[in-house]
Amino acid sequence: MVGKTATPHLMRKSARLIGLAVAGAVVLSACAGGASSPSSSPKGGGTISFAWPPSSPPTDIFPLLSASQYTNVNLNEFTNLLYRPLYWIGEGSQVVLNEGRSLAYPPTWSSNGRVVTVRLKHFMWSNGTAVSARDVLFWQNLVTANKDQDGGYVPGNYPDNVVATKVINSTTVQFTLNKAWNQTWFLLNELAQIVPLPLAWDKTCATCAAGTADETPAGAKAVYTYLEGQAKKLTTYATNPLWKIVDGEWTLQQFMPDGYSVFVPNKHYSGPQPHISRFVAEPFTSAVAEFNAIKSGSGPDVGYLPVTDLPAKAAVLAQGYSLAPWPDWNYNFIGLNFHNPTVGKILSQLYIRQALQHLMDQTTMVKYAYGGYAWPIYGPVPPVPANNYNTIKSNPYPYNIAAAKQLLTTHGWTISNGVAVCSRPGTGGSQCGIGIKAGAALKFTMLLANENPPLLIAMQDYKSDAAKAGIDITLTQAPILTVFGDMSPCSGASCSWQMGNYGVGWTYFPDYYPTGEDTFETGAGTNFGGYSNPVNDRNIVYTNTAPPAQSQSALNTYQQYLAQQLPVLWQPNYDYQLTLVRSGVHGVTPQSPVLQIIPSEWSRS
Amino acid sequence: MVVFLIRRVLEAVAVLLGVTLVVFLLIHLLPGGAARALLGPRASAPVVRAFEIANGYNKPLLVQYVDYLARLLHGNLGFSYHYNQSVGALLAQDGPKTALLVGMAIVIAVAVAIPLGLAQAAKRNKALDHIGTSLALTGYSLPVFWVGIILIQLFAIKIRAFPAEAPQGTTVSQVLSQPSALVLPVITLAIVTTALFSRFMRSSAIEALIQDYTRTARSKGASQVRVLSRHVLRNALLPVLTLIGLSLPGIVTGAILVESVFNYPGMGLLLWNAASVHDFPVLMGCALVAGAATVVGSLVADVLYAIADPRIRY
Repeated sequence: MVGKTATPHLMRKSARLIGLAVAGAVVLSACAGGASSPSSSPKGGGTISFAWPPSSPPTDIFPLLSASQYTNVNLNEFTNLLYRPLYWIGEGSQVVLNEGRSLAYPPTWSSNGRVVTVRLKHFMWSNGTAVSARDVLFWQNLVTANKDQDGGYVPGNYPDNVVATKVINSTTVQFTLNKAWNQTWFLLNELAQIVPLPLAWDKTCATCAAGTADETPAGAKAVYTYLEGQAKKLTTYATNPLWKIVDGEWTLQQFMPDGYSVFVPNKHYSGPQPHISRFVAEPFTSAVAEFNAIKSGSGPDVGYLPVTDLPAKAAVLAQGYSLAPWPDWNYNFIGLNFHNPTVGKILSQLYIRQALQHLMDQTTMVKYAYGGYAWPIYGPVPPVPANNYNTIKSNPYPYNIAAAKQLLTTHGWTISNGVAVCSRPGTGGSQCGIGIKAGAALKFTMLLANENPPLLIAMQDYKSDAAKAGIDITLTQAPILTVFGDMSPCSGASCSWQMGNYGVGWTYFPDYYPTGEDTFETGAGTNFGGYSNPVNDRNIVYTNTAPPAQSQSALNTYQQYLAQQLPVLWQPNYDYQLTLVRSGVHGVTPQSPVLQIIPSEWSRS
Repeated sequence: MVVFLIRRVLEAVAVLLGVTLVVFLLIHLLPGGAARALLGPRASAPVVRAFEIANGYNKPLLVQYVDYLARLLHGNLGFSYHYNQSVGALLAQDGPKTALLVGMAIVIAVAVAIPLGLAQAAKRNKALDHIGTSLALTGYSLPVFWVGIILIQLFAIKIRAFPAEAPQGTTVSQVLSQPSALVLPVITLAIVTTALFSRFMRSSAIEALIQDYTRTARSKGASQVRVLSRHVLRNALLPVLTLIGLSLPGIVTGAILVESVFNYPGMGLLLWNAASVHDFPVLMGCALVAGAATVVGSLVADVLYAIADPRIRY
């Protein structure tokens, strides 16, 4: 996903011992946050209200989200409350496996790394059936037969890399992979996408018998079509018997097509009941409307402060709200088009990219453009929140106009009328570089998303600094979707964009392991600028396939290389949301960097 | 009159057809296309391709347009992948809410603007006229968005007399059940509309005041009130009626901002969001409804012409 939308979150749970009854046998099992008495009542009671992101209400309840519905709100803030994923990623502020909230124990791997075995904990559907291995297979059959509809689908990855799925017994399922993949990568990116589905959904019409229709590809397509069709009836979300079968902590009591949702605890939930007895999520047409509601005293308990209203921060804090910046699992960048007929050859020169990066005064941008609610980015692995994946602690190309100028002059560029011009064409070490003709000027056009005021300020600053080194950047503003559209990978004469900045960067979602096969590998679908580097390609492949002991070192090598090579220009990343939490509401922080909310862990005092 | 109405309805159909063609062509000129915009930049090529085929976006533009018209004739306005609902359902849900907002604003605007404009004309270049003109020009110059925020600041945040949000709910009856929440959004939209209408009413009434029939009425001893109400008002209303009919699109545009500020998801905001995400079916549906509203507004104005002035015959 790429957009920044809003949402709050949870607290971690400690491991607990829970008694489980499985198939008549009493099994004691240690599972963090797993099962407990299914009929326990809410602990504290009360209602907590929450603001959906502006103009982004939930629009789909079927967890196998189609591409057009694959939004953070639908996945991490709505369906996850009702239908629990096999593996829950995100614990506290860390992007790691949350064993407590997962439906299964950590997977085990065969010695050759090609067979992964998943053993389910004891969880129950609200219709009284156990969450079983067959439910996992049901998902697998649906996603395999309908992969072109799956919003999380990347060709070659899940489910293409699963060659067989076998139910071993009611609680164990085994996946055979097409090769040995990096186990952390496979867990965070692939297994985490699986959401076991109740077999009561395995049918092709309301009155059809359920349970076996998914077993053939044609049947699986028909089931998907039926369920997808049901999910298009938004007015029935709180009443359709299909959607009443849940295994998450909540069930929908009320849902309106504008997104207004009332959740109440699922009394049959296998784990601890929520602290509150009602969770209300409210839609807002704009951030202004939401903030007006907060200022007037009628706003949600958990909402947000628009960045443009930062001057009003003191006033809302005085009202009893606390402010919790919410960083997401994201890096921010300016795309460079290496295939542009005019400037592609220029941008292909590393020293040019280094000069451009030296001109990025990220510290000033963070302070003045983003009001301090941002941080510098030096590479493709997010540094915030603090995590073990990121190993780039200093800027390889700190802000230094003189250094940028020197890089240009030592490679044969001279400043004429304020713009650097190639005066020494050629491929030698002190010449402009391959494909750059004498007289070529360092003039670029940056397509810039216009909905983001801090970004506009930051880029004005960048343009100003670039001009001091003889680089002329023309900022062309356009709606973000226009920038998206123009930034598509391209080649030939029509490949017109030069620099593209849609401002929200790249969020690792739903592939949470921060590798670059989607973005920087040669030919990748979202390698916008067509960056191609065989060393980088090898590094990426290794991050995807490294054995456990070398997983982190592979990630280190990958990110260090790209931080140096600059396939894009790194620019500051900013908080996904400045969350406001009303006094007396607890458990909202720390917020999940993968943008989940867990209102069952919120409470009122 | 019947022949006139039939002719106008046929013209309206032609106009709407033209509207759909122009909007259809314009929105397909947007860079990136619907699939990429709706599915996001990370959508893989096979997913984008499947989406385009499923929705006919891979066909020539003309074929897509003809397909659209064919569906339209069957009452199918299309499906919004952004909202995951049919366009018909979205318009049925949000359209009446905007109609209510715009309708109430127009009623208030007319109720205030017509007597105000008339009084200004009667007291031309007097204090009342100057005050009215100043207020109208001020009201007309204020951005709707800004007016809304100021009213919220004053009446919802400082005084707390009215809610900061418009009524919440998906039906008109739910909206009407929260009348106090309607006050600020309706007044916001009415302020600018009143300013516009009162200026037209004033100039139209001034024009009527110097006509022979007014002079004749005065010479026959009619009182000022009678002259204004029986002779000036009816004649001065004619251009204002046309204005009301033709100003509908502009008022709906204002409603977009009001809906955004007051958290009132109506058709204006639906149109805005559809444009933001290249939701072509919704854009087409909204354009069709807005076009129909304008044509109907104009038609109603013509009919009201005949009622207001018996000399007019069609």
